[in-house]
Amino acid sequence: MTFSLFRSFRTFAVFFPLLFLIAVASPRLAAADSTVQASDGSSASAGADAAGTSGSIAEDGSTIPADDSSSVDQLFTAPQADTVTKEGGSLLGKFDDHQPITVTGSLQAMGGAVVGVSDGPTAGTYQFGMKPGMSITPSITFDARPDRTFRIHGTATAKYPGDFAVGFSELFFDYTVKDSTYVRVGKQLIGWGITRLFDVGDLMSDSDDGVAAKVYVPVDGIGITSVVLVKTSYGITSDNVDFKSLGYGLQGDVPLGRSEMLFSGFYHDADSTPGKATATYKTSMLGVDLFAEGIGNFYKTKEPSFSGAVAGFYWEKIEPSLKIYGEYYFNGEDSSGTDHRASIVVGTNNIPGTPFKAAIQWTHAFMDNSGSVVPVLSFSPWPHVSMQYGLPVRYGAWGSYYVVNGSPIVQTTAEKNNALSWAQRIGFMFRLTLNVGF
Amino acid sequence: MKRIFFYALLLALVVIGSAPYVGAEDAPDFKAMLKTVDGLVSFMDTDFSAEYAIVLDKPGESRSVTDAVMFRRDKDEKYLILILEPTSDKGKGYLKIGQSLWLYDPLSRRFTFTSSKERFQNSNARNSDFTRSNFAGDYDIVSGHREALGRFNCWVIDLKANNDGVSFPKTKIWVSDDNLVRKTEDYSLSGQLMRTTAIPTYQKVGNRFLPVTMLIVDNLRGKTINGKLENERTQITITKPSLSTLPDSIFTQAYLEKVSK
Repeated sequence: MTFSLFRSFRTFAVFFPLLFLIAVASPRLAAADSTVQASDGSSASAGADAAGTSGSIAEDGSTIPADDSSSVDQLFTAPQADTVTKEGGSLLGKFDDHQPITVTGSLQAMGGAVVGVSDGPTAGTYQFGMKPGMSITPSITFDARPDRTFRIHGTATAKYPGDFAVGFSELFFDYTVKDSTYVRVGKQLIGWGITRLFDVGDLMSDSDDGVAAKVYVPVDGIGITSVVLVKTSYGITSDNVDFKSLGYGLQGDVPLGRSEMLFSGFYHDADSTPGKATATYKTSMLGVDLFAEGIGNFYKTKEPSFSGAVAGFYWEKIEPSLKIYGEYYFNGEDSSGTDHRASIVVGTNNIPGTPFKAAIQWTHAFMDNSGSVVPVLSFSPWPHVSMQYGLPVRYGAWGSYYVVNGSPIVQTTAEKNNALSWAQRIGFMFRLTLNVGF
Repeated sequence: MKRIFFYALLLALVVIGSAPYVGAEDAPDFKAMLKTVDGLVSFMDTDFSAEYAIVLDKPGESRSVTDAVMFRRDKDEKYLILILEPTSDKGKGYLKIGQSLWLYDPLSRRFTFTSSKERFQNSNARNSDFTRSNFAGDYDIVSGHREALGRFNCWVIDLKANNDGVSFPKTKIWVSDDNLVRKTEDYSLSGQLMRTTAIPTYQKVGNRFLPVTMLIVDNLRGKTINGKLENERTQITITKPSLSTLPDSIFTQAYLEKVSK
């Protein structure tokens, strides 16, 4: 069944993405088809538009040479003499002193579709499907600083999918005490933890579901952040509020020479796991950023337990442009002790001679050998617009971590943020994204 | 006739004998020169802040301008950069403390660690271009020779990195007689020219120097426009320099959150 189904869709799965890719990308490819690799490794595109063909004038009026790097030497034939600049005053006032209210906005819109084969309701069955996706998120932000001690900030956002009702995603004020203690009170996002792929160590991940008071105090080079949190889900009213009903968070940031340690904890008495704590270590070695994070659970009636651990790395090469980062996650809450997962991303910001960026993410669950592989190709054909093409593939038995009736049990951060995330055995994804700030 | 021949021979011997000394200069102590170069553009005894305008020109595409403000404390290897423009990136910030470089995203309110080798805001500048100069510490000297660069007489010094922390494993710098770097060429390990930087004019602030403008040409990215090869280039203009002492609290994630949008 599996074989015949995949054979019947093989032609589609292989050729449709290519045809679609060629069809959609053809205008851009046509414009760039004369792109060649110059002998020095630089890319050169004959027949491109004539915009910017001559020397350009920088903001200060100086002329930027309009040809290759050899023209750099022309700048030294009659350069402006070195000058003496009178030292200006502190730039801190740019942020700290009175600033009238400013209003800015942004619009993020995404549309696309995913087509492919996903698992059916029972093992061994498959279904062909096509799923469109769209999201629109306009937002308006205001910010005002009456004086150096006070600031008020709010962002009103409407979201589709959803009822498109306008609501405040953030609304808070800042108060600064003696230029060193920072207080922020209101509805706010708080981000803790340093993972990129497995978002398990962020004890404040849903802090914007309510109101929080956050205070930062530096103590002998150590940054201490404390948080008092009142989530909507706590059901607190003015009648039933007491200290036990609030959530409390604490984080310490300890620099250790070339390394850094972070300690954080959160306690809410009414939760089934009232206490959580993390310890994070980050360092750099041989040009590679390395980190490890451990998470523990604390209970009122039983011994603390190990919740899990994440270890990861980040490495970058300049030429050719290449980034690799990966994370390994052990879920300590799984009673079998076999829940190990890993995810790795390899990406480049520039495929030589093309306008494309490319990345591939491979996520694997070792307990049942299921996982996903998602290669993505993207480029920006016009200002504010980017196009993405992906070929998501999932593998593993029906009922496994990543293949459960069309949706994975556990998603990586990237999957959570992808409105077109849908579990396919194999599929083709196309997405158009518009991102404008104003 | 013999006398003429004698004087001609004598003249020839004098010329030949003095030839090695014409146009040559004793090679200086390049290591000491690099330390002087580093010292002139580093702010080890004061804090430093300034505004940076970063103009990226991609051939055949529209120009993008990024405005940022920089706060630097070289003696502690710290800096904080806050993006002011464009609107879409306003509020993003970089915080470097020692070897740790953090990128702050105001949308997610999260800090992610990043690499100093990364391109700054996708321009041709690297994050490492905003740290203090440390040629003497990060590079070993391969060779040096004398060369004219426009109106500047320079020592051209070939350098090879002695650690993995720098953005480029090989670099060549043109040092004018006033011990200021006027031009650099950055190379890959295989010898591929990757980036050329020109600093024709410096501004003196206190007893230190910083570029008025610096032009960075990306030798690996470009297009041929109307039959002429154009490389991507980034011009950085530095204004409003200040040596005022900055509070310790500037170099914290909390401050970056506070001043961000």
